[in-house]
Amino acid sequence: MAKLLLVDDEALVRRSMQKTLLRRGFTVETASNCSEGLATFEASHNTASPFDMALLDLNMPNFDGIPAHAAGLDLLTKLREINPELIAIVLTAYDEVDTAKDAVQRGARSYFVKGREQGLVNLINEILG
Amino acid sequence: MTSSERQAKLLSATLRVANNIASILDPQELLQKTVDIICDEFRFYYAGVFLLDEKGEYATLKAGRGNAGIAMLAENHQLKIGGNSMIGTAVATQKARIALDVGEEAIFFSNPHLPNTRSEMALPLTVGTSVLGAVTVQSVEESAFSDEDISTLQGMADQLAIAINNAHQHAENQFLLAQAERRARLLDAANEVGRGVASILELDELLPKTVDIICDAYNFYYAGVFLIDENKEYAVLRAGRGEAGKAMIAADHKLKLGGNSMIGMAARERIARISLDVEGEDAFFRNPHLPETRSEMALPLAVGTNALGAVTVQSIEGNAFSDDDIQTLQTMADHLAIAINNANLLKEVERTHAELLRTKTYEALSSATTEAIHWIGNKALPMTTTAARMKEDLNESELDIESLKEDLEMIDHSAKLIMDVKEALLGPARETAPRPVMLADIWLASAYHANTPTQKLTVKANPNAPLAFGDSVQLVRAFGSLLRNADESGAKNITIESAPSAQKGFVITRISDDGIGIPEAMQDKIWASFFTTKGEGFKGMGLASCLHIISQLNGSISVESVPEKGTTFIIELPAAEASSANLDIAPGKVSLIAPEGEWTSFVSEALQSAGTEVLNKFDPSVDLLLLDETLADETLPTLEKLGSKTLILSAAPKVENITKYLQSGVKDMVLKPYSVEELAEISG
Repeated sequence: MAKLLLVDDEALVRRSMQKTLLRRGFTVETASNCSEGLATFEASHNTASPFDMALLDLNMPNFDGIPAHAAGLDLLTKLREINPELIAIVLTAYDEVDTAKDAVQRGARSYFVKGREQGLVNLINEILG
Repeated sequence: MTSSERQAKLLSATLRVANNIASILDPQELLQKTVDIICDEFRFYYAGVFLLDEKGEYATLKAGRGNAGIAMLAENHQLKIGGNSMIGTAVATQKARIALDVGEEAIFFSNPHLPNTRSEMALPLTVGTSVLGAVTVQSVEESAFSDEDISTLQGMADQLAIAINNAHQHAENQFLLAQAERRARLLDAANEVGRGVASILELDELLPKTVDIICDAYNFYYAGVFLIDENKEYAVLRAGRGEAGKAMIAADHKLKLGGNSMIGMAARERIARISLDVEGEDAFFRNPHLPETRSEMALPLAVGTNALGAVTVQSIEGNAFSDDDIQTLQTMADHLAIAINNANLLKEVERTHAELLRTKTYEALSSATTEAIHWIGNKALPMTTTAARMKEDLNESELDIESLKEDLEMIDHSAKLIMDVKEALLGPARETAPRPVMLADIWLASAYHANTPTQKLTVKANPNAPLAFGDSVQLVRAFGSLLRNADESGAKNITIESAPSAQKGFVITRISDDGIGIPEAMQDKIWASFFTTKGEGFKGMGLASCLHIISQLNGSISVESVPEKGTTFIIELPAAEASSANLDIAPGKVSLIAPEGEWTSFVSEALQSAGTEVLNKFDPSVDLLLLDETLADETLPTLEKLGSKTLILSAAPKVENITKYLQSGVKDMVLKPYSVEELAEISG
């Protein structure tokens, strides 16, 4: 089953999403900020089981630990530098056209407005085929 | 008439002329009087006075005896200098000419008004080397003039010349004086406009004032100021003197730039247009409101190459403007132009500022809204997603109780955070009731309500710190947020001190901690709602509501922070006016149970000065027990016998505490008094 990296600074959101994805049979590892997310990704990158997909919150503390509007995109850029083929979905609390475009330009496969976890599960399944 | 009689007459006539010379200032009157005296006293046929014209070409008759004189004056009788007349010759040579028989005198000019003249003398009017004119004296007799007559009359002529010269000098002095006075008035006017230019920024005030100053100082018929409109098509009248000005402004009077008006041309070309006789001026705008205008000047209002408008100045007299007038008025116009330019720049700055403010407000609202949406979205999200998952789980044949418990916990936690936000938003919105408050005591009350560990906290006493004027309930809320922030920053020490502010009428209070500090990049964001540096378990509402409360009390709050070193919040609040009241009526004996400190000293001293015995322990015999809220919980179990005499005093009474204490039997829970008046109210 696919292995997912979920990075979100909100503990309850992170845990709830993780539980839902675990129920659907995914392997899920979590991180609460950009630095932790990058470290987790790097740790498994050259192993036998690298991440198949990254789910990245958009608005969370950046690499300096300061809350930033599009910190998730900075993390996305770093992850894709490590693995240019990485499939990533950017998660956000509200839809914003310009940010969505920016996310796609930086290599995100999709931009998902948080709310219905079943929708996210369907999207992941669709992308991973 | 004997020779001696004639001698006496001559003397008397000379004296009379001398008297007239001394007493008559009007030159015309002086000349006429002189010819009359000469004729009356000497019984000559005719006498007349000629004065040299400005070009020195003719001697013009200025006074003449009798009807002949009147007729010749009416004809503007003139004789060419050096021509074929005795007068012309006398003036040219500056020497007397005497013809004892004019018929034989080659240069006698035969005058039809004086047919009977047989003798004539022409006496030059000279002062030093200057010749002013000549006097003619004529007789019907031949050889009418004796040597004495000649010398006496020449003496008279000399005196007359001096008098005429003096009169001319006097007239010239008068003219110079009038000119100097006018110049002084103009300078005053220019200064007044200058003062207005420097002090009045509102054009609607400055421009009417300027046209009034111009008209009053110069006594001009009309003055007006035109400014170029935004489309640069018209010069629009913005201020005009008197009723004409009012009527034209009401009619939105404007003149096309560069059109057929002096103003339109002056404004566009930035060059003054001056017409000393408007009838001959092609570019003169014939204005029905100003029918009497004879002279007009249109002075440009410009700063550098920037044309702003023009000033019109109008007079009912032709040739009304001197060079001085034009120069002074153009200087005034130049000053006015600078003021108009400044006013325009100020308006531009204000417009830009308003635009910037709108943009910033929009950005702030947008940013706050974004933060709020993000926060609410993140807090509410686990509730909906977890509930959905629980529904699915409950349909499973085997329930995962631990997972369901965890999900319920998540829902509960999210819901609590949302409810806390409601309180954080509601708190500052409550109506404030400012009163004098003791800041050190408010901090202690805040620490009590915020559960700040007492071992970390030091509240420094400062007897010089005045009372602040604020709402104690709101301040406890605000200070509580600061104390919680300090505690949560990992601080080991939190120090508070208050002092008079450098800003008059204010008191300053600082809270410093040695916690992790706030990164510089975040220092300007911390005041925004839903912004937190402490992670997802926090609302990010504390400082926002703190700022709101302090601002509502007309105070200010700022932050200084060094990462890893600590943070200081500086609050300035209005100081309360000191009260000199004393307690008039007080209970005989009071127990005061409160922590040692500024407030306890204040209450003890106030009660003691009113004759109350104050105990700091329980005594069943007291009339009143004043119990500080911070000691209430530990003290209440021992209060059975004193309950009905007990007042619990709190800087910020909470509804749940009031209920609890009243149920325990105390008399009341009230706001802590910080002034003698408030103390009198609760202890009376």
